[in-house]
Amino acid sequence: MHLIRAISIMTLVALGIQAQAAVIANEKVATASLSKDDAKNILLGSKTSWDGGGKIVLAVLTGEAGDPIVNDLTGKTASNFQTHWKRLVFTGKAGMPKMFAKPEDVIDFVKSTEGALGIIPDGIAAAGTKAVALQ
Amino acid sequence: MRFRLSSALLALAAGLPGLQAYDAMGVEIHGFVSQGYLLSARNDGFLVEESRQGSWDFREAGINFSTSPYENLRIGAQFYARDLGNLGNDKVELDWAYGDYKFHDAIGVRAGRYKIPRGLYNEVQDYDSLRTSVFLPQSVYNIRLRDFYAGMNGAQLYGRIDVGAAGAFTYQACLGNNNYDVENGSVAYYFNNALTSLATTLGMRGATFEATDLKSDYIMAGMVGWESTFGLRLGVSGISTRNLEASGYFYTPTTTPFGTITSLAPNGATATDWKSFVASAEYVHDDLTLASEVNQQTIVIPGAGQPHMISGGGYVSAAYRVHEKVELGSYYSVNYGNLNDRHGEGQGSLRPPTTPNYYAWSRDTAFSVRVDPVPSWVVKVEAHYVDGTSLLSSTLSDMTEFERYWWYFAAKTSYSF
Repeated sequence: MHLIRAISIMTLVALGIQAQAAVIANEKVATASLSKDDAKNILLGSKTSWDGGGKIVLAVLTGEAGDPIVNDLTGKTASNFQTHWKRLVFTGKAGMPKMFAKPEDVIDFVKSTEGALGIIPDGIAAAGTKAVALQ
Repeated sequence: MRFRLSSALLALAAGLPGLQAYDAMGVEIHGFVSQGYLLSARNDGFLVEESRQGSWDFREAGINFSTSPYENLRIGAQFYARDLGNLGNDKVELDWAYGDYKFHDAIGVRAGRYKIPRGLYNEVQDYDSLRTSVFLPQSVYNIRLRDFYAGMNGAQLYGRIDVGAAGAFTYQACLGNNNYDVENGSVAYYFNNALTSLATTLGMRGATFEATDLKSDYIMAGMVGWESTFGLRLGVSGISTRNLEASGYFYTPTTTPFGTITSLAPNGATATDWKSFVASAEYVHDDLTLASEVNQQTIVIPGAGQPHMISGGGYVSAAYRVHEKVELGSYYSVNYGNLNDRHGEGQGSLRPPTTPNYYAWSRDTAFSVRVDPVPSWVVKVEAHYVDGTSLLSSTLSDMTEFERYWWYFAAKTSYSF
């Protein structure tokens, strides 16, 4: 299964096709859909709570699979995204989001962490998480 | 022996394979350490005494701890140390330590010691790895004035109001005060420099002022900003420090047949209001960052014969990441010691009347190269060509010998986790 995921991501990158984002959340999260603005605000640490209450715990996919998604949703390159979060961290305004190099690690984290939200390439099975529609 | 935070963090960094934070029982730990080298050509007195000889007294380090025990509450603290010539001297200080309760994305409150919102980069001016250049433009982020603006103790109201396709408005409003380091801080350095220059202007050649006490009544600061959805952000910010008082002594050497005698005369100065206003614009699109800011600083000094000193300037900058690991940057920054005397004709300036007009300004053109060998490690080199000497210090060098056109160079490496 891991091999299939890896091959599909590498193929998308090799073909220069921008991966569509899929938003997943912990199963206990009540929210069913997010706007792109909300997703951007969450990724940049501006929105920190779910609309129904509860803290958002962000899991970010980095590297070749994750950077294009972050760029698409926030308009920031990988280095700008890192710098943005370091600015928040070194002024005490936020904690660093959890960062993972593999989609399966994002899925595992979201599955096991209350309030967690992760953004992964579309088309990857994420059993045990809740799919959140990105509108 | 003084504990060196930079040495401890370097040792810690050596044991880390790459960018990572420590997370111990829900407490996040992050840190950074930088070491730089500074060199000037044609003039001494840029931040260190003999800057033409080069100096390694140019470093910072910090470590922070933070946690979020409840959904909307965040608490944390950061310790910081720097050495820049005779400033800082590696003394560990509390950079920030506050509790942050967010009622809603649009309103939150912070209490404790926090970074002051001023311009685009004031809150992060101490963190080398967060920018392209080694030195931020000195017209707005004068490193000699760092302690005036770095942090304050008190309360802060803040928020971000999302307005959909129109972007978002942000605000921060602060009220509190500051504690000033007389031995190592840049506020003391500023007063020592200004009053020594004033003594020279008044003909007390050789007299130097040394502050022994610094205090202020209170500080108000605030910032409002707008963030577009397409990478543009605009902001205006202001800070006012009321009744900033420096007291100390003038040391005056007198040559007698029996040798040189140094006399002490108690003296001081009070700025009833020390204000700074900054207007800012930044545009980020993919690998390109453009920024421009203007700054005006007003110092109200009653009874000094020149009750309002207005200094300031501005800059334009551009940075472009040409490769995943390489970024190039440049800026042009203009600083005036007195905005009412931009041509250096002498009106209302502290400098001696016999000094050339180019003492009134500094026009700094900078070129920077930043390399990120790995995400946690940054190496930079930078060259500056400067017309004018308002950036130079009269307490670090003989101001009567300053030349109009000069250079300074900097190299710096930083590690953060």
